[in-house]
Amino acid sequence: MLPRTLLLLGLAAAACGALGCATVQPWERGVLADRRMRAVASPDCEGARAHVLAVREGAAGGLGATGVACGCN
Amino acid sequence: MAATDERATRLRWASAALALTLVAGPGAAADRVGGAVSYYADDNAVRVVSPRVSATVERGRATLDARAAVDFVSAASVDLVTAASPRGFEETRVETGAAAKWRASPLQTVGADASISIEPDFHTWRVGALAAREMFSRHGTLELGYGFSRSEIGRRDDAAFSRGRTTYDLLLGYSHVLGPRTALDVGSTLTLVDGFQANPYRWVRLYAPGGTLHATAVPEQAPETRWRSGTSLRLRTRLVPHLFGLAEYRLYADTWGVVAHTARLRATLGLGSEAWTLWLEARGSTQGAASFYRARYATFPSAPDLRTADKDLGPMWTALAGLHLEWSPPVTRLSALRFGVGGDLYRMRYLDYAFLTARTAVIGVFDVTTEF
Repeated sequence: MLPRTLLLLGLAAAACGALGCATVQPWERGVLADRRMRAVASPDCEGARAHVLAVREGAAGGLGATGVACGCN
Repeated sequence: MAATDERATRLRWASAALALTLVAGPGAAADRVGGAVSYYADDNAVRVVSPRVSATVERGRATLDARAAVDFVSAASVDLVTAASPRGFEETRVETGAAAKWRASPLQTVGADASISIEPDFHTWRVGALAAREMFSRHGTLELGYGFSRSEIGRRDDAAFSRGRTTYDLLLGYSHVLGPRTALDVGSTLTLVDGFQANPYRWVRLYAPGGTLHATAVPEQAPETRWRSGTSLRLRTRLVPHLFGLAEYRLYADTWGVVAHTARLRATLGLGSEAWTLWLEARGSTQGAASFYRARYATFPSAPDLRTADKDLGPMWTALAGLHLEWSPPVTRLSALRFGVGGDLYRMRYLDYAFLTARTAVIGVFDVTTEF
């Protein structure tokens, strides 16, 4: 498990490097703050689906980061 | 517990949940109030109607979320057949929860949450804590979370039956802003589940070697300890103006031997001066079997120490396709008002389960959200 986790973290780091990780100024974060950028844009709507998937699959969970971070606050 | 007492208990919880939501509602100048009704139906005679409400209030450095949901379930599925029950069932589940966050400093947030879920024979309560810190000139956000939950499991036809289950969750997540239009999330959870994890209603059929008809059935028996881990990688980006994309991969593994891979793609398209938004989603997963899972236990007259009739612990794959259309009419007194309607088609394929090879479900949802 640990090697796989490290592999994913390595891939993340590689993606970060490949995409440049540009410095983004506060006034450039309008798109990042858009609701449509969130992993869960509508909690009520997507909560229903998430509940179904958690019940129906033996391998639920593990989605970790909430996917809303944009450094916009 | 008598049926009337159960009903009264459920109504009390539902009333408390509704009151909590209303307290955080328009009278308190809530920032967001939303509600949804979802409907699940599959070709295995399971129907679930789930109304839910939620609200969010932001005051200064504090954010408070409250939510409540009720599941009205009716079923007469193969799950019941394997449990040797001639009838289906109807039951209600009530879940309510609240979460609070506090921005301790411009870069640090701490929070806590609590929830409770009540079914006639399954009660769960959960508490959790979360800390987040922004770093790298606010290009990165690190999250660390911990959760603890306890379940009390009963059985309707046996008042003396009582088992417990405790769950510990550890979450580590990191999000990074890659550019003005792109963010990356990496997350991992580690969960320890300790206690009774079989289904008290499920029976496992035992066959004589070479036999075609089962000789007897014994209660399901699962290990008392299960370590579960999931690691995910998610990319969020705006592809072109009005078109957003999300791609996600998740790897799951546990000490029961289940390994699963899940991929998800989502496209979000703004239409008509942003008044309309269309969400398109595709998701697929594949899963291996638990080490003690057998489609058929040909061990009679002895029974294996570990045995299950849970098809969700067998090899399977799933596919989901969904769309969701949202309309935001122009309003003056609210900062936003949104109506959404959507549906998913969800296909489950069981690769090694004798009583059911596939199941197809539809999930429909209607939701309304107001922001102040």
